[in-house]
Amino acid sequence: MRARGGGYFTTSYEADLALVDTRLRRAALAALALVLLGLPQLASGFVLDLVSQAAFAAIGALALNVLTGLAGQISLGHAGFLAAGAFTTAALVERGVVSPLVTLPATALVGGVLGLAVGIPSLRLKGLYLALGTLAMHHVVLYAAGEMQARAGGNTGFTIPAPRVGGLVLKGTVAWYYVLVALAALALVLAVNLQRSRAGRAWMAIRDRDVAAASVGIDVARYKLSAFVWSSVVTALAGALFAYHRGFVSVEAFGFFVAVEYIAMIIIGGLGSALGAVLGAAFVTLLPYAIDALVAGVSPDAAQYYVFPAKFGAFGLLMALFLLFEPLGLVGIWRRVRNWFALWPFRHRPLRAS
Amino acid sequence: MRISTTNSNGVGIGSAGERALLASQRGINVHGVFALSWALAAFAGGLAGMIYASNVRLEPSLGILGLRAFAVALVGGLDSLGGVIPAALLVAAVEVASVRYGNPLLSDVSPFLCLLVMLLIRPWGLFGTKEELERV
Repeated sequence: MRARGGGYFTTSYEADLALVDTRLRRAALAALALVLLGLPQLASGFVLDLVSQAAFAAIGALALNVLTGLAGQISLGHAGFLAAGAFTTAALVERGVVSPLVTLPATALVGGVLGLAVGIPSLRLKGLYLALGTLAMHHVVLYAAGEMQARAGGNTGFTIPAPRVGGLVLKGTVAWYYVLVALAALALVLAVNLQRSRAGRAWMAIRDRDVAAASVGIDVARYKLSAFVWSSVVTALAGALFAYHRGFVSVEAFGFFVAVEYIAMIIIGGLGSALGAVLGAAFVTLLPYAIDALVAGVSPDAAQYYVFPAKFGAFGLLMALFLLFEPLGLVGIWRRVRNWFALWPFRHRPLRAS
Repeated sequence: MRISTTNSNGVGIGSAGERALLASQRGINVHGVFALSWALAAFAGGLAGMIYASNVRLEPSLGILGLRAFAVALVGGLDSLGGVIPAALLVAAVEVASVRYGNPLLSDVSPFLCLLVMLLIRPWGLFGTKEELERV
C-alpha cells in the first residue's frame, strides 16, 4: 500500500515490473473482471451491446493514443485506417476467403503498409502539415473504398458472414461481448506495456522534443515509423472486427466525423494515458445514449425533434469544456479524486513519493 | 481586406502567429489579434457558406465543404493571402476536370490529391515563404 507520507518502495525487480502493484489494485481489478464476466447473466442485450461498442471504440482509441498521445503525431486519418481494415476484409470475403485466420493477418499487413506510407511523410512534415497530410490520406482511402463499393455492382455495401474458425462460429450478442471485451483488455495490456518499455519512452521523448530525443541517441525516424505502423495495424484490425461484428461494410460508416470522434475520445479521456483512452472511448460511445435517455425523460413528446441536434451540440460543447477546464481529461479527474482520498487530511503529496 | 505584410497590422498578425510571447513583448495586443483573425475567418467562412448554400440544398453536413479550404490554403501557401485565389482556381479546375474526364467519385478526393502532391513537392505552397516552414 502507498503509505501516507511515506515513500513507495519495492524490494525486488519482480515487484518493480509488476503491472498491478498493490493489493487494493489487485482486488479492484479482480472485482472488475468478475463484473465483466458475470454481466451477461445480469444485464439485458442492449447493455451488453453498449459495452461491446465501448470495448470496440477502446481498441481504436488505444491505437490512436499511441500515435497522438505518446508519439505526438497528430492524425486526422484514423477513420481511414479503420476503413482500410474493414474494406480489406470485405475484399477478401468477396473473393471467397472467409476464414478470419487468413483475413486478419492480411488486414494487419495492409494496415502496416498503409501506416508506413503515411508515416514516411511524417519524417518531413510536422504539426498542421502532418494533420493535413493524414486528412488527405483519409480521403484517398475513402475514395478507394467507395470505388470498390461502386465496382461491386451498385451495392450499398458488402455483407460479411459471421467469422468461423473450424467448427466455432462467432455469433450473437453474448459471444461478441466476451470477444470484444477480451480483445480490448488485450489491447490495453499491450498499450500499457508498450508505454513503459523502451519504445514508449522513445515515443514520449520524440513527442516532447524531437531534437533532444535525437541527441540522446533515439532513432527518431525509426520510432516515428514504428508508432505509425503499430497504430495503423491495430486500427486496421479493429476495422476488420467492425466488419465482422456489424456483418456489413459501407463507406458511409467511416466519414470524417469518426476520425473526430476518436480524437475526442483520447482528448476527453486524457492524452497519453492508456486508461484515459479507455475511459474516453466509453464516455464518447455512451454519451449519445445518455442524451437519448435524458431528452426522453424530460419531454417524451418533443424527444424526436431535439435528440439529434442535442447529440451534436453536447458532443462539441463537452469537448470544448474539457479542453478549457480539464486538459488532463477524465484520467486527470480520476487522479485528483484518488489523491484526495489517499492523502486526506493533507492536500499535497509529499515531495519524495512519486 | 487591407491586411498584408506591408501594413503594420499585417506584420503584427504575422508576428503574433509566429511567436506570441515575443510579439506581446513588443507591444502587440496578441489577444486582440487572435480575436480579430478568428472574427475575419468566421466572417469570410460564413459569407462563403451563404453563397454556397444559395446554390445547393442547405443541410447541416454542408460544413464538410470547409475541409477543402485546407487544401486551397495550403496549395496557395499558408502565409500568402494573394495565393488563395489562384490556388482556389487551380484546385477547382482539377476537381471539375477530374469529374468531367475521370470519375464522379473523384470530386471528393481531388482537392486532397492536390494537397498531397503539394505537400510532397512544395510543402510551402505556390506563393508561400520557403523559410517559414517548420520541418524535421
